[in-house]
Amino acid sequence: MITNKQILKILDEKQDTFYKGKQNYVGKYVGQRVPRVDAYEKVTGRLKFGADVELPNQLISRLKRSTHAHAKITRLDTSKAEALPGVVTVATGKEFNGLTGCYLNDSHVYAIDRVLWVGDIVAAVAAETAEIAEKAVELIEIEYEDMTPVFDAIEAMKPDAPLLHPNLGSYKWLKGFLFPKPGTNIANHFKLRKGDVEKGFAEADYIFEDTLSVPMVQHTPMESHACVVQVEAGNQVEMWACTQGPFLVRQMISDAFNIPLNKIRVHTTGVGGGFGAKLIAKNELYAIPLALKSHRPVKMAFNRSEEFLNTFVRQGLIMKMKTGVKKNGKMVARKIECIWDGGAFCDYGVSIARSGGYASAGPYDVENLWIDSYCVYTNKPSGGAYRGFGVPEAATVEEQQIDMIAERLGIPATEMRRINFYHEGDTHATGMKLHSVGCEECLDKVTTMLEKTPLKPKEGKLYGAGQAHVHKFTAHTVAASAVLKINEDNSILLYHAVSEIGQGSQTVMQQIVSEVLDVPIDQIQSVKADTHFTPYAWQTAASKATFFDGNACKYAAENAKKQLIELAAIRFDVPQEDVEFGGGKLWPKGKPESAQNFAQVSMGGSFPKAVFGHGIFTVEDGSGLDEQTGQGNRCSAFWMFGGQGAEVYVDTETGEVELARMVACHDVGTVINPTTAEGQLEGSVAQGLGIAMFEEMHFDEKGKLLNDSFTDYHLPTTLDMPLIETDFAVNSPHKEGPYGAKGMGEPALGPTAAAIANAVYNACGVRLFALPLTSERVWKALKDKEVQK
Amino acid sequence: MKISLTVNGLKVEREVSPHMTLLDFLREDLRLTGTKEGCGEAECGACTVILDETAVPSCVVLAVEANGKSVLTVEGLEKDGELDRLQEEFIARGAVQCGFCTPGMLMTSKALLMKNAHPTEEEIRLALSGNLCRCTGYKKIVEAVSAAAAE
Ligand code: FES
Ligand code: FES
Repeated sequence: MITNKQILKILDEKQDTFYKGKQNYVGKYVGQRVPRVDAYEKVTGRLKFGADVELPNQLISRLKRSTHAHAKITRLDTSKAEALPGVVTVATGKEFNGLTGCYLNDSHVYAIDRVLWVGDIVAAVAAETAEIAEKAVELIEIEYEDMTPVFDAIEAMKPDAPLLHPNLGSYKWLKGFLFPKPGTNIANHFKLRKGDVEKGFAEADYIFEDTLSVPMVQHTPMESHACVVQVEAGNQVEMWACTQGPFLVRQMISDAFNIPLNKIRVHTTGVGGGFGAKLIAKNELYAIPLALKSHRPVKMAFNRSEEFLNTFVRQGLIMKMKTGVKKNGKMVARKIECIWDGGAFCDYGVSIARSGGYASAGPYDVENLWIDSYCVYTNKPSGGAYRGFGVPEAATVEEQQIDMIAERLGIPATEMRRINFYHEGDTHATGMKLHSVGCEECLDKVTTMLEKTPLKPKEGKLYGAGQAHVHKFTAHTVAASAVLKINEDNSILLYHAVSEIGQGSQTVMQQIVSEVLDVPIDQIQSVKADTHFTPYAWQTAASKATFFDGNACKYAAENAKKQLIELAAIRFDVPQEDVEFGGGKLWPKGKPESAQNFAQVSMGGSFPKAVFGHGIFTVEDGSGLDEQTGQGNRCSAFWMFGGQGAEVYVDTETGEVELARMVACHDVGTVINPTTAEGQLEGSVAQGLGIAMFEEMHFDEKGKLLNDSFTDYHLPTTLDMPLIETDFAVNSPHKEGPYGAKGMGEPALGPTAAAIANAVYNACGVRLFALPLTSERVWKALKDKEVQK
Repeated sequence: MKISLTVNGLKVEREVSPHMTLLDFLREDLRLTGTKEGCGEAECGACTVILDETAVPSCVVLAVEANGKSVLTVEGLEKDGELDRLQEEFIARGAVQCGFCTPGMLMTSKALLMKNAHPTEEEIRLALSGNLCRCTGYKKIVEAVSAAAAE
């Protein structure tokens, strides 16, 4: 068996030849293994995360949560809680009944008359100490009148299903982007129609139809949500929060409490993992009324159970997929129905139904497509963005179907993928022209990695290998902006609003700026996102930061460089084209001895001019999609591609699956930092293996979550981890990306679970039509197979 | 109750409630917020500190249990402006992503190396198996600990 050491050696050798003769850009800083700029404050424990912030005189808050899945609140009495010494204030939905959201404003802060899931917030308490706040929560009296709940998304779509949001039609939503169906539980119905799907099926040699499902899972960032907020005179809200979306948090606070944006200031603290869970305001919303009422700072830090129930979960998915193929494996038609179990608020899930829907046919050029994707309300915790935004869920179904079809046709699954893959210049399912398409290179590299050093058989276990491949969209017309200041001492301040959530963006942004200005990374200091001071950025989401904000930082640096050259030309009294620029200095052509640094050029002498570079970026030709056909010009600024291969051993006695090795190759355009890029892939393997093999939120028949702790919700540990080998495509940089870069956080998780499921089938012939592949389920399927024989 | 203990080499004497956890004592009373809370029930390792020679989850240790003992937290790893070898390797090998698990990972690893200067990869994985990380996939963390032990 190949050891980790040998793999490391292979990797080292590979790194040396990584870029030779390839198209991806490699510069002095870009493409280099630069150590993370935020690592020092993290290894010393100095970085302040959400819960580490403390303001003088701050109160501690606790939440009263619903014990019923769907019920009218017939009595809510907080008087005993309020009377408890040490309690400063209690807030409920009676006083604070605004709705808010990101795409669809369907979310209440505290329950208004009605609770929608077990865990819904009914009231919040702020007190001098945690103990007092906890006691006060117990003193809040609530009486409920049960209403019929609905937990199953398919049931919830039926015409006679109980309605979670009878006022859906009156909510505010992004018109033209979402298509809610008022009077039903359907929060969005996305449609894609391309070609003539029935004609395609008629022309097909074979038609296959499969239905698979994936359950709700939780992000479980190691850091739970936490914030501290204070409200100063004149309703000026100031907040410190561990968020991926400070500007979105600001927007949602504004919507919920009717406060103008310029009176809300959100500072981003260290963020201990996000994965989508920290995009929108949650605890931030629950805290505001307490601060408004108490006029004191309030800390609202979630415990682990609240993290499970009161943030986002990944929506469940039931996906039906009908595929028509020719004998050689060429797909001619695919008809897909995705039903997303969106939980009580579908505010963000609606967008996943849309994009997860349009990406659900995979990275394949299929002439005839028909996709319906529904986001459905159920009385469960709210679904929302989770690394991959629908792609890993849909790929779990779609990529298993590719393997199933290939087997039934008697052709290798790799070949089936290859003949269907998108290529440069192809038209995507959504109508956009594709550029920077690296799926074939990823397939080649994954296959080579698997075949070059396959694992050896193990006594008494069945060995199997399998692959899966995905494509992943990003955002289109969102804004990113950056500002760069040169200080009097020649140090540089870089302002952008990307949250450093562990992905390494702060380092990547500084590498890009260093590359433009030819200065060492540590000459630059990034400023943490702060809605009053850092320029606007949409969110740290959709794997868009490197491309969008990276471009904004690049433009800001180029803008500063231009200003410096103009100033140097005056200072040196030469034409601009005779100013040389390099190594962080400028000099008149032929006179390197007169070189001056940026501060000298801008601030020195008798005409100081502060240099202040700015950059803004968006995709000009980005577009929405037609309501009826799901067609548009450019629904995603770029597409990322990637594939992974899994090798497993299955113990037929116990059903236990051992994931022995994962290999991954992704097309992310130019890799700005190979170390952080590998880190994204390695982390996704851990997350994907958890999702494939043991993660699932279990609810009882009354909708109560049974595993809201790490005792009951098992996460992968060091002992579960396989050998991991990673690589990147090097032949498809993006012409608009900064130095050719695209993005990578989300696609990293895209194929993992599907690859593992395909490997398990390859090993033991068991195909489970639901995740996770627990030993128990695999064992049972193996037994059933024996019986059938 | 009054307790007296050594924290990162400094003598500390404080009045604490008998129910207070060592984690809360460190974070709230001493404002040493480098030690993190991930679960509060000994399941994630984020709160790991070294009590005398042993790595413990400080969320389930009472402050009074540390009376008369010595506590080492992540803030105590750096000596005279010099990082501990483990900290250096974590930086060099990209073992840090969001950094929330990092203090706990460092303290568990430190306790391991104090007992076993040259652990095998298996021993490192076993020692770290109670420390959850959601970002890194553990690979670079295990590599960093191996590298720090190789000296
Ligand atoms: S916080 Fe102590 S083990 Fe999780
Ligand atoms: S680095 Fe984020 S949890 Fe480990």
